[in-house]
This record gives sequence, C-alpha cells and structure tokens, in this order.
Amino acid sequence: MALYKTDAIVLGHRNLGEADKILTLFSPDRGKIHAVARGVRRPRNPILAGSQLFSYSKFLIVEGRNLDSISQCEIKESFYKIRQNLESMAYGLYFAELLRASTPVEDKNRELFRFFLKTMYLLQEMEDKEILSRIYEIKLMAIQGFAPEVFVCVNCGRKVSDKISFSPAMGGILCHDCKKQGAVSITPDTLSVLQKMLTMTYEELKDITLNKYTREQLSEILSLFISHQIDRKLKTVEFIKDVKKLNIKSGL
Amino acid sequence: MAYYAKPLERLIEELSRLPGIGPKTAQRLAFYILKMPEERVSSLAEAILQAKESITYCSICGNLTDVDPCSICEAPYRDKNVIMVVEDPKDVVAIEKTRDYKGLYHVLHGAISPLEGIGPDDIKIKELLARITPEVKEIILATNPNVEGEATAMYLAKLLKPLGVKVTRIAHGIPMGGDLEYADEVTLTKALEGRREI
Repeated sequence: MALYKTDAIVLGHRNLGEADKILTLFSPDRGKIHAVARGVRRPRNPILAGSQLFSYSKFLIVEGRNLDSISQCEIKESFYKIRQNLESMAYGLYFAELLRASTPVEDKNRELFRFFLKTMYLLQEMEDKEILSRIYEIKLMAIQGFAPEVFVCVNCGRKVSDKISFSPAMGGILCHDCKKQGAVSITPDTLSVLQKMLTMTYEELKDITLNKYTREQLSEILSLFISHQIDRKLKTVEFIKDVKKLNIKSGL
Repeated sequence: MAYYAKPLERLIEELSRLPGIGPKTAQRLAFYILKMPEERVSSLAEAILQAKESITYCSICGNLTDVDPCSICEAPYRDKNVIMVVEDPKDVVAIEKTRDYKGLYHVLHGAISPLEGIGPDDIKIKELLARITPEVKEIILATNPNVEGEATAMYLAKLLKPLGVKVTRIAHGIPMGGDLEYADEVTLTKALEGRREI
C-alpha cells in the first residue's frame, strides 16, 4: 500500500459507520480528494484536530483500494478564528461548499488552492464579509474557467455604454439591442465594480465600498450566474440568510 | 433459489437493516437467536416492542422518556433555574453520569449543520425559546465542540442574550489522562484561556 504526503484543507465531512468520517480534502498536489479518517468521532483521537472543518494540515495518507485513509496529520493553520464568529463561519461554509460543488475530483489546481487559502486567511480578518464573498464568487468562477464577460456585450461584441443587462445563461453583459429574456438590468456602477472585482487583486480591492443597491444587485446576478454554472442549489446559502436575519433581530 | 427457510430468511433480512450490521453479521445473529432458549427470545422480542411502544419524547425537554414529563423535569430536588442545552439524548446520559449537574436539560435532537442543509428551524430551538421564563437564570450550551456544535452554540447565544438570560458555554481543554504533547493547538489555546488559579 502506497503512502503519500500532502497539504490539504478540510472542505467537508460526512459520518461513516460508528466512529469514522469521510473527509473531503482540497490539496495543492492532488486537487479535491476523499479520505477516511478513522476513529475521529471519539475524543483523544490523534487526527481529530486535523479533521475539523477548514483546518489546513499536512496529511500522511494511505492509498486504499476504494478510499484512501488518513494515517497522520499535523496542523499548519486551524482557522479557528473563522469558527469563533457565526457570520464568518457561515461564509466559510459557503466558500467551502461552492468550491466543492465547482471542482471535479482529483483535478490538481495549485492556483485555485492558493486562492482558496488566501480567501480563508482574509475571512479571518476582513470586516465586510459580504464584499469578500462577492469577490470570491467572481474570482472562483474565473479560475474555474467560467469568467463572465464584463467588458463587451457577450452577444455582439460591441462596447456597452448604457442600459446594460447581465445574462446568467450567456455568462456576461448584454447591450440594449441584444437584451434577452432572463437578463437582469444592472447599473453602470455595478458593472464597474464587477470589472474591478474580476481584474484586481484582493489587496487592491481591500478598501472598496459599495452602496446598498449595488450590493443587492451584485448578490442577485452572481447567485444567478453561479446557480446557472454549477447547476445545483447550495445548502449553505440558507444558513447565511438565517444568520443575517438573526443579526438584524439583535440589532447588529 | 432459496438458501434458507422462509422465516429464517426474513429474520436475516430484518436484522441486516440495523445500522452497522451487514449480511454476514445478520446471518450469524439469526443463527444465534435460533439457538437461544425460547424464553430469552420472547423476552428480547418483547423488550424491543415495549421500548418502541412506551418511549416518547418528553414534552418539556425533548428527552426520551416513558412518562411525560420525564423524571428529570419532574424531579422536585432539581434546580429549575438552570437549563443545559445538549444535542442528543445520549448526551443527557453522559452528563447525568457525572452526578454533578442538578439542573434541567433541553435536547435539541441535532445540531445546525449548514453543509447537510440542517438549519435552525430543523432542530428544537423554538421549544427552547418557549421555556425561557423569568425563573430561568442560566442556559448552559453543551453542544459538541465541533463545527456544527459551535455553530449551534453561537446561534443560540445570539438568540438568547437579548432575552436577558445568562448564557454560558462548557469549557474546552485537555481531557483527563491526556497528554499535552498530543493535544492540538486549538485545544491548548482554549485550555490556556480557561486556566484557573489553584
């Protein structure tokens, strides 16, 4: 049986049998992999800490006939701060689910890994998690090969000046003449934010501020775009809504 | 072609539906049951039926019970000012074994698990809110220290704090008989945070 070492972040888990879990790991060397973590539902298990969601560790994995299993792990970053705050946890879970849903198994992608790791670090620090979430969504889609066309009309290729709309199905903006059913009208402000988010780095976008209307529009078109591309409903989106409702209720 | 007599086949099939029991284990159990004395077999069958028929959820705390309200909610010597929130009836048993806790319980029957699509409305949170009266002085959040449990605890804390009740979370630290060398950094940090003067 072959052994291999890899760094990986835990993206998800589900229970297996009495005390085991199947972890979904995301590794720079191997992409998304599934591995069994034996005995991690008992206390005092040596790989317990590394099997927690979001934790970034060095794993020693034994290749199995069907499923690989984790033999040892050493934590590099636990991302515990994400788990200490309800809002960042909700977004963290969403980021992980979106990544899982949009990545095929064992598709190595170092760039994607570095991007995800950076997002997780930023999630611990950034105040406005909603903006982070929008940047993550559009950049993730771009890395996965689904970058929306936001500079010229996706249908006729002409520059778009006013009366812009965004078509989730066609994956880009449309000019006034090409507007089709299902396309959502957006303001020039929203378009310029979209362009910035797609082309600029996280550092450059650090101080970006958005008004309420742009925020809502971005959130609407990006969620339509994502659900069109990955073609499934994400469960964690509901949780973010629940948390937001709670924040409004308690006046935060 | 039938390998077993009909009743035996049915028994094996029923047994193999239980969690963690595969066809081979089911077969072994079935053969063992056949060898057992008749009174023990009927006592087993009766025990299963009786448990299923008489056990219900307590209308107050949600724990499994044969009398409603359950013996813990009804006990006169228990402190009605403290409610401990746990995920599972098994956790009630675990805490009861310490014999140190004299308050009441509330069983959520699960934890918020966004990855599996289990939201706050899918577990018994509404029932808990209904129990918060001025008489209640403290709510102890004793959900598991994993992602789902933490999410549930934080959610509940946010929900309960505005009601003016004291909300506490059980401590996290090094398990008894454990080894510092093998403890992970999160546990150690938590243990340091919660250190006490002796």
